[in-house]
Amino acid sequence: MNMSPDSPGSSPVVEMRGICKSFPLVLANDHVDFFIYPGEVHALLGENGAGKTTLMNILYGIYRPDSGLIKVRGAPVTIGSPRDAIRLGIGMVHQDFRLIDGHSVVENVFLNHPELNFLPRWRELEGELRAIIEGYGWAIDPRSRVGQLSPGEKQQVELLKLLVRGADILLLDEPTSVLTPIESRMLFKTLRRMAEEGKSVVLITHKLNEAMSVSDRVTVMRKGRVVLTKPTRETNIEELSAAMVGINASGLDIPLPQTGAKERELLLSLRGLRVMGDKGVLAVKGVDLDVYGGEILGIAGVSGNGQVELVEAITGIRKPLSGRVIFRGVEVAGAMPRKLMELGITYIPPEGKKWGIVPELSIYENVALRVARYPPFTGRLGFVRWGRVVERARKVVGEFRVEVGSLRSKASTLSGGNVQRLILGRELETTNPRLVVAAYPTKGLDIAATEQIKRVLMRLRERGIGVLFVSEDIDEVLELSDRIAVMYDGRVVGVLGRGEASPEDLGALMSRGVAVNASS
Amino acid sequence: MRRLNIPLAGSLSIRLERRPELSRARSALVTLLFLAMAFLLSGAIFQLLGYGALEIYSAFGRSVLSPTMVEEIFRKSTPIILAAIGLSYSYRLNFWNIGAEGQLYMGMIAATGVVVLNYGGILPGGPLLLLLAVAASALAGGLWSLIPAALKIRVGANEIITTLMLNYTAILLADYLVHGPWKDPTGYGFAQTIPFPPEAKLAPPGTPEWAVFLAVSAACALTTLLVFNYTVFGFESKVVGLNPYASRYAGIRTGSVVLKGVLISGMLAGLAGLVVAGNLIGRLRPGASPGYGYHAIIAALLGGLNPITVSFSSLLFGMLLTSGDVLQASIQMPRAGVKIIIAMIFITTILAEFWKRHRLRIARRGGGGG
Repeated sequence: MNMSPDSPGSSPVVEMRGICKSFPLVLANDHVDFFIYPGEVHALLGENGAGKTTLMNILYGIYRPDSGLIKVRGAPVTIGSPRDAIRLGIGMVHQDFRLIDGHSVVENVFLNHPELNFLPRWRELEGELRAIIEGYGWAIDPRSRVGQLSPGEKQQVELLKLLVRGADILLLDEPTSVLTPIESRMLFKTLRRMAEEGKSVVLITHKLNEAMSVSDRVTVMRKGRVVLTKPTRETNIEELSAAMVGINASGLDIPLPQTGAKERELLLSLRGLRVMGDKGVLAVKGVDLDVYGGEILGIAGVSGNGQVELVEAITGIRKPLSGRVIFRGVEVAGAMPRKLMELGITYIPPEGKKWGIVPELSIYENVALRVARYPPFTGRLGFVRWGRVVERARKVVGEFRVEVGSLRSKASTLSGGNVQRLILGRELETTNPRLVVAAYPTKGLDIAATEQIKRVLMRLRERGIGVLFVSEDIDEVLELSDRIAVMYDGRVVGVLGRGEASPEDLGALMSRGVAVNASS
Repeated sequence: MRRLNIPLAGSLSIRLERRPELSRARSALVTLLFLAMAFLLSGAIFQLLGYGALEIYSAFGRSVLSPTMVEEIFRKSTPIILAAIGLSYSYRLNFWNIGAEGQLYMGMIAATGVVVLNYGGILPGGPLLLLLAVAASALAGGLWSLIPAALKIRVGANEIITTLMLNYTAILLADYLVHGPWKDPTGYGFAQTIPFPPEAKLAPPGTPEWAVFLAVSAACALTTLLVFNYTVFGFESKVVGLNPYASRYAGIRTGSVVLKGVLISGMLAGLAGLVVAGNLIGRLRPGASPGYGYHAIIAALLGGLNPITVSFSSLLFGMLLTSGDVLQASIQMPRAGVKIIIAMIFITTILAEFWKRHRLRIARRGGGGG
């Protein structure tokens, strides 16, 4: 899908052509063309995992592309490290700040500056910073300690670092993710101002309204490819959201509802659930949701809208801040993962290799991971009956077609699909679930493994088990779910029955939290 | 880790990269090769310092093989074996306890306390005294190690620092006691406590010390082997050490597993303290341990945290410490010579671990890159 980026008149300051980059299991960038022009704010849009950060990391010299060409100001370049990038005038502000809290602003900014003398003249440097700070209308004091600054101010320090090094191509990775709305508006003003000065700004984001409000041009990436590049004023939110989540204009065929079990037991009720995220920001902001036996409840949403925190709160990995979690009539908010598993909540975690297995252990030891302490796998004296574990492992590997060398080989030798088969097989063969919570179970998998996992989930539904299924693949959610709950910004913004869900509605809900009709 | 790339002539370069997991046998071979390297390098240093390396090593061999020395080697190895096996419990949990020395000192202090109380007529004598000494030393070592464990779990304090600091606290506490309240009233002013009565010694006079020690060490190693490989606790501690995320997911009570493992770790070091104070020295005095707790760290790593191989690597350290005395007497080599060897073993052990995970490869430059 090589579309030629249309030019706004001048010649581009950065040209990236045919960029490919693959990681184990994923093609992160697939023949990407990306141009940056002087004096523009360019929004690079896409869901998490669409490849936008990878592309910018390539431009910043953190990754090397497998193939492709990069030109900066017309000359072909090889960018081997961020040092090279800075020499070319390219600077990047990462999502997490790389600052030393105990040092002052001026010390942070000039740390490791190539032209810094052995004995720096701090007073002059401070003056230099003051000039820049006033120019942008900021309020930070170069002498204050960075640890005392707010996130928005820390971001300004990061920008200062780039500005004093002469960067005029600025890459910002999800810069508003840690900012308050007011700080965000302030940042956008700065970015506009930088563009007026002739600098180029790339804003990596998955928030459509940001792209619409601040950018001159917008590029949308999806699954490693560029699917759209346009001047911002020639597009609209509907088009961008459709491009982002991958709905073509013709719409999708929604498969017919599949019949679940006749009697439906209310398994799980969430009431006013609020959960903190890792950054100390509220990630789940009051969710009410019911899950019944014999249904697949799909949770759709662009990732990072509180889905992971929600399932972690249900499965006990994360303590909820407030609200109720009622499982089969029992209040279980804040219970330990062990207790919830014993009650019948089985969890298929996201990022299987990180959460779901211990790569350094053998296959059979991984099968025992969650159940080693329970009979029949352990005897009265606390000794593990490895014979029984191996027996069960053989069954898991056989029934779920995990491709393994031997049960003794380490789990680190498994491919992503086989890790996921192993986790799923283990959970279903060693626990006795009433509710299966599956977070992104097919992410990054090949088609065969994806199909198998979908079939397993459908079989669970037939057995009357409730399935809470989180995915960012809209096709998959539509295909499997009896009901779809859309999460946006920590809230469930809509629960749609199988027949009611139109792809446009879903797309609009996922990307903006409002249905199409409601917005216009 | 950043990839190392050294350009050679033409388009070739040497590249450092991660290698696939080695088999157990090959991994053991790497360890042994690097161990041999430690002796070679130390030999080179001796040669440079003007001592005959061959002479030193042959004297070393003779001393180790002489039957009179075997008992001494067992004596010196036992505290290292106990402490090193104990440390294996911590290290499996990814808890970098370098406080075995302090835990050992606390064990010595507590055992001595029992003896002192018995001397003062507060505690009864007889066979019960040994039992009390064993319990007190293990408990004291265990409690001492629980402090950094609790601090890590509660407030995330780095255990390397807290365990190290508590070593000095324990050593200074021992110093204070032997110079002050526990000073032997009949000891002509020497800074030492009263000697341990026979009934407070793990190996009482009359029994062959080495046999008792061998039995204690073997029991400790075999029990640990059983715990590591066949109990739920052993399995869970491995999971906790390898993948904290998976252990949370698996519903393992991480904090309690860490507390238990580190407690056992400290208890074994404390017990080693009883061996040192009761049998090796016979009383508490300043500098009672020549760093058994530190040597145990290297022994545990060299032995790959497996209680059986850890016992053998501890034995090696016992040999080195023993022969140090002999070499000093026989060929006038300074005691520090043994320290050179131990330091070399430490360095090569770390290098061996690195080498097990990485390899150098000559590669064509430019190509690949992923």
